[in-house]
Amino acid sequence: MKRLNLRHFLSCIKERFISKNLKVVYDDDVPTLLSSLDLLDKVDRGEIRCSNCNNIITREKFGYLKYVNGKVELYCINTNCICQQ
Amino acid sequence: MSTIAIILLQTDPVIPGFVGNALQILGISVVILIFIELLSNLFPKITRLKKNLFGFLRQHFKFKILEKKAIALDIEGAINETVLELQGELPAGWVRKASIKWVKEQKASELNEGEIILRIRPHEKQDSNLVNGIYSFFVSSLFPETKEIVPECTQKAVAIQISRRTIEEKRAYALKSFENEIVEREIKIDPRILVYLEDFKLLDQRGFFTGSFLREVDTVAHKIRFLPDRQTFLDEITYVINHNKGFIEALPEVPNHLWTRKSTTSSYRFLLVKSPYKYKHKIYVNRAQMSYNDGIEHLFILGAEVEKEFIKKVIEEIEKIPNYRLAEIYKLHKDFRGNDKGIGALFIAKFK
Repeated sequence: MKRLNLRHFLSCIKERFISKNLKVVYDDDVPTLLSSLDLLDKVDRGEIRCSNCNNIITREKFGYLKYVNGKVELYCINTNCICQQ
Repeated sequence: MSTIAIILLQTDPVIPGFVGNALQILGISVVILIFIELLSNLFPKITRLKKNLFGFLRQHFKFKILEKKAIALDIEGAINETVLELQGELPAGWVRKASIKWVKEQKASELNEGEIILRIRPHEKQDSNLVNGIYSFFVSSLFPETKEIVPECTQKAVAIQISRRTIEEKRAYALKSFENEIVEREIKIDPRILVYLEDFKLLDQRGFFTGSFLREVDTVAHKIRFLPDRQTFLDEITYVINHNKGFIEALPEVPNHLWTRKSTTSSYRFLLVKSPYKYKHKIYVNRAQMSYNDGIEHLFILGAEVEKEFIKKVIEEIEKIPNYRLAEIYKLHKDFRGNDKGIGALFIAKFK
């Protein structure tokens, strides 16, 4: 029991110094990000749709992207995603 | 950073007064920042101090870097204050401190499966940034080893419950945004989430959500990875939820058949430790032995923080049974009576 507590304590301290990254992109940098993923032109041409609500994604409506099965999926900003259905 | 601080503090005295002083002030500031950074790793509430400092600076100096730092600190602060508590509550390694990483450019080949890049809007939309950040963090952190096995709708509902709890406790003003933006969106994507929400809330109010349910689902997921039972895992999860729910509703007079659940995949027993009288621990040890004799694989010990010493005694005694291995001792958000804070432990039976 005591041994386990010490191990638990040490692992707690260790875990406080290990962090998990949450990637975010700032509003102004959205075009640069989409361009680096070769998606900016497609977005500007209105060729990409939200993987949730199927609405056309524009630079302004881009909410987040997710990497699924080797493909980048784009989603629109949540409130728009809900309101426009 | 620390090297820069040392260099700046050792600024040569021949450097003219003003520049030398400025460099020394800069050096001291860097040292203080490093110190605060280290402290905030241990005590995430200090992040609030940093957030307020950057918030103040942002209002007075319109630099984008200050705006970004203030936004990031707010999100990190809300997550990390909870993570500290959740680290003692969830299985080891499930949640780690959050660190906001700003990206400008990204190669698709460098993204991991399921990874998200979230758009952060200027500070005026901070409620939305906050709820999106918290939810994205938890949805990607939970079930780290069984993500492929646990159904996505279950994972999302679990992340909603933990995010909701975090927001309620740390940033209550953003709860409406969370429900309107995140919960509504997820229900629209997968309406099956609705089935879980109220049940998870009930389980969480009595400590069974993290105390037994999540651990049982994760353990079963490991077990059925290459078994046909994987195809019916969603049904099994529903049975486990209903069993936990039935048990809670029957408290305090729980009929005998509800203390255990045994199917082809899940197999567990609850042992609610209470009434700390002398020698009473023997009753719990006997029940643990009976549970083993019945072929039950997992034994969940659940108790209240106020009866901590007695619970530890019971755990120590059960540890002496050679047929059991103590997998972990953990904290609970609520005890089985619904009071704040509890203690849990998981024993795994060793069958030959």
